Amino acid sequence: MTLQQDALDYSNEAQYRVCADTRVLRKRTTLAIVSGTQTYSLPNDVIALLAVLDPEGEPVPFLTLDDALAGLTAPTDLATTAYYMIGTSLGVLPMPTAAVTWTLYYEARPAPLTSASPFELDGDYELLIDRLVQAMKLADDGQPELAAEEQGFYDIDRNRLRRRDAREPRGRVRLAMFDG
Amino acid sequence: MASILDPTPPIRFQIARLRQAVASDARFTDADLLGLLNDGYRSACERSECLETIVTIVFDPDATEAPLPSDHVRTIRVYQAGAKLEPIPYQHSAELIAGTYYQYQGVIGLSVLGDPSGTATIAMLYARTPVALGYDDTPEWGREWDYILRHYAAWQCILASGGAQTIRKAVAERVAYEDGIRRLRHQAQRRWGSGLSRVRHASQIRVAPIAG
Repeated sequence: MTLQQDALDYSNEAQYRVCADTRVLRKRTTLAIVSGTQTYSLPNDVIALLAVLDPEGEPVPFLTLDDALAGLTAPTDLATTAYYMIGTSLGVLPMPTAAVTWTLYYEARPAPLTSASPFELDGDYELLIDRLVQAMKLADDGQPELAAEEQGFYDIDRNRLRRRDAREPRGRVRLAMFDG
Repeated sequence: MASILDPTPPIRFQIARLRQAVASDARFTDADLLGLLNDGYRSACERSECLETIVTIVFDPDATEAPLPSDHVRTIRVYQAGAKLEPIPYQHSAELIAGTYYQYQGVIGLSVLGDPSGTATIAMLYARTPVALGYDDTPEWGREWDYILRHYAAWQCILASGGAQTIRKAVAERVAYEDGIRRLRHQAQRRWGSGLSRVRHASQIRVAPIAG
């Protein structure tokens, strides 16, 4: 299906918002840690990290920013490599001395929508996109009351889906998505 | 064969949205709208403190004060030699209280340098203001927050248009803008901690939950 530019732009923004509101997209990537480099930019589609695993599949310890600041200003007493987050970057403490590849699992943004690509969300989540597009269009058409009404329906459906996702066994639903 | 359409850059898309109902060509130029979008962007980032940075500040020899970064909005944490420094009012800066810092007028100062060599190095976590956006730029905060800009600019456009009947519409846009900032601030405060185990030493390592 070829989308008109207008519809494409509204749908694109709505898909970003639905993904952020529901956190339904979860992806995996790898991060190459190199010797002597402390901070690494994360991919643009990372909303929040869920887990960082070392090559053996063990979780890499996470440092709060207080722990990271303490470690950045004094010799660290960490017995193993750990990471911290600052903005859209990942920092490593202590300074890496060898190359290693970590695996990251994260809540993700969708790729930008084009007229040749389908939504990354489907089912009830695609319906949420429709609702949000309607609310945006009504607002831009000078009908804020109707837009607020549509936004209210969106909020109800979004909350319902979030509650439903919270009830579903993660091993059956979420882990399968990692390998998608 | 039809060519593939790509999405319009976010700022141009927001301007196009504003043009439909609240910002006529006769009253507002694109530059006006870009200015409003940037005002909303800067205000939202500063109030939500969604942009955080760590900077290392090295004091000149025997200097007790150093300039703050030009994009500094608010100091969140200051550490020196592994220890957290506490803020004190600048009026008490001469009292030589160890483990403290003070600020005024774009300057950060230490009461006691804490280093016998006469120099000092601190690491500061601070909230920063964003770089102004151009027509084809993308806000740093993630595309899901772009709608906040539209609400701010629509609020300002409606106010500029005047008329008592428009006030309710302006208030609705402002409420949506304020709600967006509240949500953005909430996410900024929990962004990277969600779902992660907080571990400091290897002896404390436990399996991090996969989902938040």
